[in-house]
Amino acid sequence: MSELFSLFLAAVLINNIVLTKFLGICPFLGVSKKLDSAFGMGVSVIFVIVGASIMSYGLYYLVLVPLGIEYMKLITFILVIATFVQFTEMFIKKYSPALYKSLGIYLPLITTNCVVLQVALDNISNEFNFIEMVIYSFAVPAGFMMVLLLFATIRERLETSEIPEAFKGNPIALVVAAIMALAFSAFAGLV
Amino acid sequence: MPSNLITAILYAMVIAAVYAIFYYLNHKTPLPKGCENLKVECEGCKISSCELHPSHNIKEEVHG
Amino acid sequence: MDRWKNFKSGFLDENPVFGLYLGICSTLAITTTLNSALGMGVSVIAVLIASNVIISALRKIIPDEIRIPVYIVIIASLVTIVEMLIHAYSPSLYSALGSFINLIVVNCIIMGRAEAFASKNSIIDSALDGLGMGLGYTLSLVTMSLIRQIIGTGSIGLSNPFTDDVIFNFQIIPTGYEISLFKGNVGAFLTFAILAASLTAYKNSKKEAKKK
Repeated sequence: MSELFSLFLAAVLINNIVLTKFLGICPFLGVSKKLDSAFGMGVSVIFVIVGASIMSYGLYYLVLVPLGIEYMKLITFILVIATFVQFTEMFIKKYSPALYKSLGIYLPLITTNCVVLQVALDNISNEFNFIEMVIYSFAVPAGFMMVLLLFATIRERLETSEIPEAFKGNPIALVVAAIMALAFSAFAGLV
Repeated sequence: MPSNLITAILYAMVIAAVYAIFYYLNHKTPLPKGCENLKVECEGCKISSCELHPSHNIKEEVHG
Repeated sequence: MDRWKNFKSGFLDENPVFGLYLGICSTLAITTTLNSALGMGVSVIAVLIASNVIISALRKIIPDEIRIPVYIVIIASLVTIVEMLIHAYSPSLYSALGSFINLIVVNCIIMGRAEAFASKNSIIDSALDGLGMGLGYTLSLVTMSLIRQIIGTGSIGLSNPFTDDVIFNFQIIPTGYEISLFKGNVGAFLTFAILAASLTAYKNSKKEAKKK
């Protein structure tokens, strides 16, 4: 039980997917300008990663390994993720327009998101069992969402500050990310 | 090696076909009412494979 | 003349990394050493040219509604092949790049160029465009890795990825005086921010000059 908890904590704080592993920066810079969009993005990412990871894991161990074609895992995972996103978007469009308004527009962006593919690949290379896989697949996007929300609040404040012309927009956001990475590096050695 | 390769290619075609079908179905389901102009809010990035990227709108106009 | 301008634009005006902010994930993680930067750059150029050529060759046949799925399958197959080649011929590069070889699939540059250029232009134009964008990407990676390696470890070195022979290795800043911050994640963000700001400043100054 404590192993699972330390796995969760490590994925969220110590090896944070954005600040330590540099994944998910594209949507990080694009969606973090307002708090509402950051929240929508975060929830969509958590849902897609958990769902797609479970499907990829199942497909790998139930189809690829018995057939002996493990080298197809990259093609499999990216297609599974893309299919899952399409299916989810279709489902939400038909059955919940309100949900589509708040979350649905971020779904297409997540298909080519580095984070989803990396989590799916990590689940295999770390040789997790099913429970560990679910915990990890939830923890990583939770860490992403946490950093995204923090970042969005800082950026909203930055809008009203005086920034040199060359730094406006993404460069100053990256400097903020650097400072956040510095702050988060204090978590190393927690577990 | 040869039999394995054929399995792999068939398998790839199957899952690619599944994805293509879902993509097409999703393309055909209309947006719920009141959601058509949500695309303007997303001005973030230049990821052109995202469906919300403005480059996709031009093609739809040409096709009519 | 148009082809040359298009080729050149991938370097400075439309620099994919610092101007368009595409493919940032691998840029920040890979640029700790010159070797990995060059290795990644060459892999991306290979995949970019190959995918551009294939997609351009097939552009009349692919039905318009399912072009994204087809692009994804083509790019994923190419990346799988490249990963297996690197794993076989250069194990040191494979362990240095880690899982970022696999992430070339979702590298926004490749998908973006396929969508924006290769689906509408001839094979030669697409190949040249792929080469231009790939070289611009590699140049950006090399610039960033030079800065990070010189300031972060004080030395600059290059080794042959296939045989692990060291080609050269200088110690520019004496050990003990380097800023090891630049080797880690904080330095990556900072270097990237400064380089991106420099490019923006350069583009702004050009715009000012044009106005006058």
